[in-house]
Amino acid sequence: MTETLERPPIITLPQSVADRIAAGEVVERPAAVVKELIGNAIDGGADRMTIAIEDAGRTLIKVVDNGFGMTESDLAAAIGRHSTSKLKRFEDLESLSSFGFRGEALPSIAAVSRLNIISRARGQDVGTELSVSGGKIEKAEPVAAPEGTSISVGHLFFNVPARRKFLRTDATEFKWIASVFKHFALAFPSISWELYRNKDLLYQLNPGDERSRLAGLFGDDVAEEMIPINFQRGWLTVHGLISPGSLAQRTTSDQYLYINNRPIVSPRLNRAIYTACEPYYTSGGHPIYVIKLESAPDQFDINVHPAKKEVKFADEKGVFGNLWAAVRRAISDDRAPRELTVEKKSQMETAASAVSERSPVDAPAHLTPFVPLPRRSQTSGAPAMPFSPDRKRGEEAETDSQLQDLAGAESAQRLVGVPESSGDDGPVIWQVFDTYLVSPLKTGIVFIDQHVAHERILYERALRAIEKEPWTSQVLLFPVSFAVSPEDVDIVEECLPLLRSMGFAVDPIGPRDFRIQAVPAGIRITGERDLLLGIIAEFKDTATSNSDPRHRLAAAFACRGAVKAGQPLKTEQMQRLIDELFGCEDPEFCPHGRPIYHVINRREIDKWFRR
Amino acid sequence: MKRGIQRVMGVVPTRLPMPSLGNIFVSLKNKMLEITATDLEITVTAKVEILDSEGEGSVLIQAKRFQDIINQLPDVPLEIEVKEPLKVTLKGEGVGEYILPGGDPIDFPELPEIDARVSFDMSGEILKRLITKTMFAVSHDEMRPILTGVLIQLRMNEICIVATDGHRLSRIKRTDISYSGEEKDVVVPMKALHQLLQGIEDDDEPTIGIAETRASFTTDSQRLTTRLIDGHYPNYQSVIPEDNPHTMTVNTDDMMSVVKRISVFAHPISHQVKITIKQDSALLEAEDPEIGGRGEESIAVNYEGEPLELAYNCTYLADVLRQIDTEEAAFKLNTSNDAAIIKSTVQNDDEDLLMLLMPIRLNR
Repeated sequence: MTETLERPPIITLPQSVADRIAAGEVVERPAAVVKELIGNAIDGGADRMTIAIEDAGRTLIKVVDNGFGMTESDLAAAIGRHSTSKLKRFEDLESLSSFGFRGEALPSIAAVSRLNIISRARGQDVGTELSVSGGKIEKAEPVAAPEGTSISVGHLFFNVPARRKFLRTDATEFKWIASVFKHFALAFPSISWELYRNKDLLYQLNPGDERSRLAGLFGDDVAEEMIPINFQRGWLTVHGLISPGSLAQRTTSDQYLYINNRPIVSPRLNRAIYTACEPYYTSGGHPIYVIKLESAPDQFDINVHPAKKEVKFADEKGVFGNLWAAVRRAISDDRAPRELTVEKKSQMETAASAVSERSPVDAPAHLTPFVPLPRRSQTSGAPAMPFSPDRKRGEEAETDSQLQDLAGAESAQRLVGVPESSGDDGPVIWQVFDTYLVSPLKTGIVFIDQHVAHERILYERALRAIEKEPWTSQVLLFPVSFAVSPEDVDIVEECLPLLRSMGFAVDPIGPRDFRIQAVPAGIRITGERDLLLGIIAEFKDTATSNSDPRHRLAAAFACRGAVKAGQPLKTEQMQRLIDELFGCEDPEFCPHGRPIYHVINRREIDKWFRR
Repeated sequence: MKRGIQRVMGVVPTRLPMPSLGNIFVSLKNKMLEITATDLEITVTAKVEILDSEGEGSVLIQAKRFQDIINQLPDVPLEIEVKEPLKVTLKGEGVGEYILPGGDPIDFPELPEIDARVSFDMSGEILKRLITKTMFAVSHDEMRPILTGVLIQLRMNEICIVATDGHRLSRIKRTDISYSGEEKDVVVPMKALHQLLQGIEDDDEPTIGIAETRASFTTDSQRLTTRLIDGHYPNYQSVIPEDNPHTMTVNTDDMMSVVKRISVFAHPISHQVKITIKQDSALLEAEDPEIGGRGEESIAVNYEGEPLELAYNCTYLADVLRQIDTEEAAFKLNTSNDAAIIKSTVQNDDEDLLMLLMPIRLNR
């Protein structure tokens, strides 16, 4: 190969541009700034920390600490790139246990904001005030100041409009900030913390142990119930707190895992925790946990990319096993498992046995969990076509006609033995594992996942209510109130108008308290408060996706309101579910994209028996 | 025997938490034959008249098969014998001989003994009436177990029964009860009430016993014990409005017929029916926009007050009207967002039945 490729000349980027590019890596969003500033403050020996956020960090992020502080020359150096005091103090990078060691954080933040630092170093009489705008030092002068450092990051991304445009709603951005705050607050219970949002004090956490810190963040009830974990084997120490099954959560948002006090994410370790507590979470849900691993630094590697918190262990299996053992031992010492299964079952029986088959007016309305979906226009007496013709192609076309067979009234009974005649000639439907509906077709067998099927039905219904005709509301005799955490208030308020068109009348009655006055008329709801909190949690969890909030809320309602897997259904409920499913616009996939049904063709069955 | 089996079969669970619950416990003691079934929550024991007996003992018999054979047998004296251990022989004149596999009675759960702190008698007819008038409003929401039963409140010479599902409420009081014990509030599960309605005759005089966690209802021919639902019943008194300003009086049967007809056109999910009330008539309207169906009908009413526009679930409305025994029903109304109170126009001196219905918010 003698050919020389013509190489474009290398151009050095102007420093300001390079800084802004580099900054993007460290400071993607306000929460990242908060993380860096808190990390610095902790490294600076602070034991009291006040954080003030305005407009979810767009206007102001301010962190005030009482740590060692910085002198004038320290300050100037801190703004220069790759200036870090920390590598001097530690011999090598592997054993680092401080947070911001790359020396990138402050200069990066300085490059994309209007930064103001006031600091007085311990033992100095005067402090220094330094103002930097877009990376340029604008002011550096002596000033009277308390010991410690106060850093204000104003107008973040003022010179990076593209980044600014990619920020989410205030509620979402603040959710991330609050999550960073909680991670640090739980990691350092001996530090006292305050978090202000738009001048309101959201959290005031006094120094204490992990349990009292949990009480400050999640309430005394939760903290009291938490089960302590204390475990040591070889080079690994595990300690922390995990919730008992009775505190199962709807979401995974309150799970905090640390290694050497540094927050980490590890699906593998998470699985160890879940499998350990699974027998004690008989009715499902997610645990709350704060679990801290301690290990010699040479046993693991945290990906040093600033935005990532993933961790790799030299001995993954050992860590998995030990973490599993730590959690299982703690939780099994605390509670005997499955104590309530028999009781629950008999209660369910009571409810189910009361259902009777009568005409709509003769039967009490609440006995009909599934109500027919509004049919699409039916001009003739023929059953509605469950599929539009253009979707038919190849084998699917066959499936379509099979399902019409099922959705229509044509009986498949002659193909199989009928277990129990339901008195009419509706299709035969079985429920297996209390999870799937199974029905024979002329040319095969269809399996339907009851939860996702119902999810699809409710999703379309909710969406129609939001976008076209609002749903009417059944007023409640006993209005139900609920409280949300301070940072969720905005999210709930964002949801309220949409919830109202879905039929939920929810009014604010306090700074973080709401009251459910009415629910969607005619839709069977079990546990209004739990349902609504579930919807809000789900809505919040999907806040990072780009989709329309209306779709997200409809999906959240569908997901939380739908029958669960494992719930026994009566024949008429199953029949209605199937009828409604095939009245849907898209009966094939649930709002999350999971398939709703699957058909096994007769040809396939024939093959099993070599026919 | 048939009647006895019928009485107990209702509690045999269809899904068995313990295999032994699919059996009935048959026991012969002191010349008395008793058969018992339980689902752990509710236990029913029926006493069966016997002509003659020999020996004592007990055995488990598979409930379904026992019922099937007894039902098929004509009304002739039967001989039931447990000769070898766990083998039950059924014989009767002209009906041959049947052998049922028996089970060891030790497998049957121990039956709860109830140490009643409160006990009183009342007429079977009245007890059934109280249950019927309230049961329709019981909730089926398993997330709020307390509402899945009826509240029984005992006061001096008074019994008050309440059921609500949070959308409607029914409360019935009787003041002709001979009760002089302590004040007591308990919540009895729905299934026990169903069993009582089936098992108690009008001329029975059941004795009701209430202990800490259980209650029993005992007549000459059967005894039902049930677990009570634990928890605090919501303060229903505070949500019953005392002074709804407007009253609408309407012929009960006419209103019922109109509601039934209109409900055919009600929206299949919300079951909503709109009522526009003027001086001497009320217009009921329902619409199902999805299929384009619509119905309206006017009914004569007696009404004082401002014209009102309200909406209710027509199923709930029919449930309420069904409980009214008098020719006319009185609706006490406030605004379209407030609870309506429905009563009979003529109340028995000893009885007070009140029903409450929450509206559907009209969507404008």
